[in-house]
Amino acid sequence: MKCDEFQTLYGPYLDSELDARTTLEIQQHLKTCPSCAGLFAEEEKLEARIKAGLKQGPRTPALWAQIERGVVGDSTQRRKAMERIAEEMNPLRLSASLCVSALTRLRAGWQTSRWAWAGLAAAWAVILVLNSAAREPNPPLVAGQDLPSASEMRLALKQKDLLMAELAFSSEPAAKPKPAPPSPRSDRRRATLNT
Amino acid sequence: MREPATTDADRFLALLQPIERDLETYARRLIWESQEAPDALQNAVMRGFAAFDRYHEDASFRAWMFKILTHEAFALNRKHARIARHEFQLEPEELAGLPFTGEPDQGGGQPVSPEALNAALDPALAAGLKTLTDTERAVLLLRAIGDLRYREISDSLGVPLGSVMGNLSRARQKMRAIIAREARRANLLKEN
Repeated sequence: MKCDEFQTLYGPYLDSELDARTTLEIQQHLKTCPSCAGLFAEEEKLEARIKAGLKQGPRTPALWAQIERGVVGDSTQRRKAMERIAEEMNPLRLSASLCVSALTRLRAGWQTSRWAWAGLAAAWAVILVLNSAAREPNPPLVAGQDLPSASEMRLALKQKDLLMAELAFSSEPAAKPKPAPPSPRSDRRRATLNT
Repeated sequence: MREPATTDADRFLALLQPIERDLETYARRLIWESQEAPDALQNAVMRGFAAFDRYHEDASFRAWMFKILTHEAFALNRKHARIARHEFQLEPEELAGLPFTGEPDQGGGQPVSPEALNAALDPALAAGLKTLTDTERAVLLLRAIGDLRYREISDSLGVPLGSVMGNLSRARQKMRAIIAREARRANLLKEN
């Protein structure tokens, strides 16, 4: 390595930013060139003094206490905001608040437009129709709800027996079983089912 | 609800506290109006905390915070348009007198003793920093105070690696020139 090459690289060398090979070349050059070695020693000392001088500075405790309080306060506020959002996003609470909000607005606009009520009624009608169309024709029975009565069970078993008998012994169509008189309870259940 | 054992604020402050002094020193030296340094620090810390969920543990928190603070400081300096007013060019004879510039010392020719250098250092540092451009000053301070690598400085300032090396070299030359001038003045005062 020549002196002018070293002089372009002494900064990165001082900062330990050079690769191992170049660092080794510089170290060898400094061993063999007293001029560069002397200049570099002076530069190294001056650089260390500049660095130490620039790094000297106070840490103001009051300032940092205030800043750290700001961080903790911000963190607390953020957590509370998240909890509030989570609470407000509860579906039941959200839908209730939306309904109340819609009704409040509607009531406020009652004086200016009665068409708003008509619009709301139409929207409800559409929702009801869509709801009816989307409902399953035979919703599964849930334990404890809409259980068939004993008379219905007896009727169903009788119909099944008749059907099996017809299939087994006769090719003629089976006589239509006489429907049993429905009980008041079964009437109620059929009326609620959308078959 | 049970409080988590370590909150984000706890983790953030644990990383911040060891570098608070360096951050404050950096802000006070980089921002032209030192009374604005506390605002810059507060803003930088709050910005850092707001973005803390995007900070990765394997990255250098020190470099990350210095980068945020640098942006705050530059914004303040730009806002007040003080850079041009404070910057001034180094006199040619001072630059010519620098070591490693390939030319002999023509700035007085008197040898500067280590004692004179030390005495002149503090006022010279403040004066020297004023001779630097914003980028030169940031590069020098990020290296000296932040202890950042060239790559980290390049990332902090959004400038190429070669530009970091060039700015750092020029900044050091200017600082040495100012320190040497102050030391010569101190020697002259002693002799008189």
